[in-house]
This record gives sequence, structure tokens and C-alpha cells, in this order.
Amino acid sequence: MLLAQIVDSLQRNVSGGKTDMSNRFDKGYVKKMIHNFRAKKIEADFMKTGYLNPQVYQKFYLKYDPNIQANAFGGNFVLFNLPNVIQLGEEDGIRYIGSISCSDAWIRLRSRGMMANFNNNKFTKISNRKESIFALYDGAHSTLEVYNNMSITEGVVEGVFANPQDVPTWNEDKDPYPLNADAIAELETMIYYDRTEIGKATPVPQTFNMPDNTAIQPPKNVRPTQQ
Amino acid sequence: MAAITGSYLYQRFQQKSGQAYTGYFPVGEFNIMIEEALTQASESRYGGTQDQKNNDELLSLITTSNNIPLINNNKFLVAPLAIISLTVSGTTWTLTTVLPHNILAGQLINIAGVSGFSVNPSGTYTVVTAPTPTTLTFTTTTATGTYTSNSGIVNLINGQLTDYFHALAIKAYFSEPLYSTNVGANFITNATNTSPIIVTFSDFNNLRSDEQINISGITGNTNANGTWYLQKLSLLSAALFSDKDLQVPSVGNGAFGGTPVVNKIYFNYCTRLLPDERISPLIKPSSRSPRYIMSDGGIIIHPLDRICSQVSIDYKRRALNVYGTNIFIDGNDNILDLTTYYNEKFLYSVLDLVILMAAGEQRDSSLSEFETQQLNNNP
Repeated sequence: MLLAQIVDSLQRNVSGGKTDMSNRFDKGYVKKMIHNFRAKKIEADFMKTGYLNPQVYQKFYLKYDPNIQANAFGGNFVLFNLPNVIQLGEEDGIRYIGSISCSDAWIRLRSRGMMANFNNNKFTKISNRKESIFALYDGAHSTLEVYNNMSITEGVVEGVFANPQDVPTWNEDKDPYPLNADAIAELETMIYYDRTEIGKATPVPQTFNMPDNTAIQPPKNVRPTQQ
Repeated sequence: MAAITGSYLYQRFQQKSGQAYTGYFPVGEFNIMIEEALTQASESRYGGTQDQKNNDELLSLITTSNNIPLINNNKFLVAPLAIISLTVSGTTWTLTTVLPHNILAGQLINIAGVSGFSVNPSGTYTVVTAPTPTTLTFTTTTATGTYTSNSGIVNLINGQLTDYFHALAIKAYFSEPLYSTNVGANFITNATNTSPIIVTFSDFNNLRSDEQINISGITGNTNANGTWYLQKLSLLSAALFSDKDLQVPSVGNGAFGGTPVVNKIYFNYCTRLLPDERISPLIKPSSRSPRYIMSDGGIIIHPLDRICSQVSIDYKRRALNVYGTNIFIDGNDNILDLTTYYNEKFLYSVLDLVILMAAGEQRDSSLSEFETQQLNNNP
């Protein structure tokens, strides 16, 4: 299903079929919600099953840009732009970083702390391991630092990106929205309930492992009255 | 069935409103009222164009896919521009418009209705200069005299609507450049001398089959220049076809060379950009999601940082001037069958509206009540 079809469907849901632009449920707003709820849905499914449907992956091709290399202080790594990925429990949404042919995976450095630990050990010191390429994702700056091969000019990252529109090879008009069809149906329901606040009067479907906060809960820290 | 002529409508008006014996409304008055009623009746139906009946009744007042090929500054005019000043010096005439004209030097304009000069400057001219947003010059025979205030209008030929009333849908044609991320490199690095021509891209991209690109700047294999539909062959290559069904292939005519410039074509429907949406960070018009606003007698297509070179517009037009004069429906005319211009039911509704207007003018409350009921029962 195309993103435009999901947007249209949601606009009809919340507006009772009225899709003119005078309502505030405009396309930009709906798209933002779709991307946000997609991230939430994928994470919920991953936490539940430990599996990611391949339809949620996108490929981002790394391209050497000399204009951003000035940021690579110290000059011991190559910097690439990389859109933000979603969070999947205790890990991020990156599934593969490496050569375009996918024959050579680069070693993930999970944090600068991990990199420091590597470098403080004479056996694991990155610069000593000439045969391996290391990659550190800097989510705060939407960049990827690649160590141990200064001649790298291209590569690919396969992962679950927070905003599919940030991936330049994704064609919004032609490519299916990166989410499996059953999840799209749940996503539509979830956004509908969320935005129309129907959940305040009706229990929210338990599709996202969310606590049912509509049920009446006994007051906490209050001892039940003895009859 | 008898033809519905202006004369027939006038007779029915007299009979239904009791004017046959009072003669209170002469035909001239009727002609004025029916012009007003035409607009009112079409307006009330415009509000409900999702309804098939209203669409049928507006059949001749709705035009679709009307191409406007000349768009300047992403804007096209939808009303004639009133002239507020016209001076002549030798053969050079300088014209000033009330609103910004948005017309460029070299474009064709038509001037009508100007008075006060020994030579009537009405006609079609090429704009020589457009020194300010509201002034432009053209040349023609010299004349003496002084411009009569509030006389005359100017229209841009091929770049303006003169009968526009309400927009229904607008499609905007944008072309957006595709660049290579390799600094100084071209997005297309080769175009084969084969049929179809196969182009190679420098970068992974989101071009897909059936999409359109425009190529210019190729030397040698110059047949690759032009607007093409793509058949994507691999991540970095595509074949060029001249039709959407990919049945008419391009034919190479030489070795690839030059500095190709590539634009992706977007021809998508616009939605209206509401004033407060212009500050919304979530709403950003783009070539693939264009928006439009109304401004200074025209429609402006956003994004303004891209060039919209053409639009196709569906709109509701003004009431038809069936005689080509200032009279829209003539109560004296018993020849022209108005059903060749208007839906029959629409004409009857217009007549009921005229009677309602007449009742109002006469303070005839019972007739007014009766006609209101008529219109409600049979809208």
C-alpha cells in the first residue's frame, strides 16, 4: 500500500469521508503520525516476537561527501550522512552496514564508550585491526563514522528508518510503504483511536501491548475498607 | 418541446408573477434580473457539486483540463486587469494596471474598452517592456487625447482565464533538477546509441518505470534530449520511451557527450494552501505536493522556489454571454434556443429566482413565499 493511500484512508476515517483541505487533519500532519506510529508498531512487534518483517527495511546508500568531512576531527574516520533510525528495545534499527554488494559487513561500534574500550586494549585497538572496518552511528548528528579505511567512498545501510521519506531511493508515489499489510491495518486503527480520542470512551484495542488505562483500577496505597 | 428562448422565459415570467397585467417589469429590467439570477443559481449549485443533479445543471458552466501554458512567476491571472492609466508618447503607449500584471516583455496582450483617444488602442500587442509590476509598454499608431478614467481592461493571451469564477481542481507542472552527489559530476553519465536509448545514472535514485524525466545538454547522441518516460532496468540504468505504455522507444543517433541536465517531471493536483498553513512546519509545498493560493487577481502555485511552467485547471466559469454582447439572456429574443447553452432544468430554476427577486422588489410577500416554496420543492 502506498503512503498516499494510507493518508487518504486515515483522512476519511477521522473526517467521516470529508477529505477537503479545510479540516486540520492535513496530509503533512497525517504523514507525521503514520511515521511515528509505524516506529511504535515495529518496536512493539519486535519486542513481542524478536522478529522484523523484511518489508520494514529500507536501504540507504552511503555516498562520500567531501563537504562534511571537515567535521571528521582528527581525520581518522570517514563521515557519511545517515538518516535517523528507530529504536528497537535495547538496540537501534540498523540491521546491516557494509559494502553495497553486502559481502563485507562493517563492525558496529555501539557507542563511543565501546570504541574507547576497544582502543584502550592493545589487542582490540581499532587501528591495529587493519583487516576490519568499524562503523559508529551518531544519531544526534544523523551521521555514520567509518574507521580503519580512509578510502571508503560508498556503502549501504539496511535498517528501519524513522522517516521512510528520508531515504532518497524510496519513491513515495511508486513504492509500498515500508510496513507489512497487517501492521498497516493496525496502524490505521491505532491512529484513528488516538486522534479521535475514542479511546476515552471505548477501550483501546490491545494492539500495541499498551496498558489498558481505560479500565477502572483500584486506588493505590489505599487499604481496602473492611466490611 | 418548444425552444426555450429569452422571449419565452420573459413571457413565463410575466405569467407566473402576475406581470402580464401590471407590466411593472419591462424587458430591460428582466434582462438585468436574469443575469443576476444566472450567477446566483450557478453559485448555489457550485456549493454542491458532489451531487450529480447539480453537476448536470452546471454542465455548460464547468470546464475541465483547461491548459494554461504560460505561467510567469508561478502565477496566472484569472480575471481581466483593470487599466487605471494609459499614456501615449509617439508610438509608445504606457499602461498602468490596478493590480500587479505579472506579464513579461515579449508576451502578447489584448486591450479592450479604452476610450479618450483619437485612435482606439483596442487590439493585440506584444509587450515591449514591463518596467514595474503594474506598468507595461507597447507600441502602435500614435494618438492624441487623454485616457478616460476607469475605461479598459487588459488580458494576457495564452496565460490567463477570462471567464473564471471558482476553481475546482488544479494540476501543476513542475520540473525538479536531479543532481549527482559526486561534486562536479553529471547525474547521467552515459546514453547509448541504441533503440531504446539506455541512460546510466551516477547515483542510486528513486526514479521508477512510468515516471517522466526531461533531459537536455547531451551532445552527440542528441536524440536523448527531450522528455521521456522511463523503463527502469537496474538501480543505475533506465531505457527511454516517448509514451507512457513504453511502446515507442527512443532511437540513439550518436556517441554520448556534453553536460546533461536532468529534471524529474511532476504533474500533480494541488490543494489550497490556507493562510495559517503557510507557517506550519508540517506543511511544505513541494513539486510532488503543490499547493495554491489566491492573490492579486490570480492564482499562485507553491513551492515558489521551483518553476511551475504550466497548469491544467478545472473551474466553474461565469454565466455564458450567449449573444456575445452585454446581454446574457434577452427577453426580446425569440430565436436562440437557450437549451443549447444551458441545462433546461437550470433555466427553469433561474426563472423561479427571477420571480423571487421580482416579488422582493414589489414587496409581494405572498408571491415571495410561493416562489420560495417552489424553489424548495423543486430545487
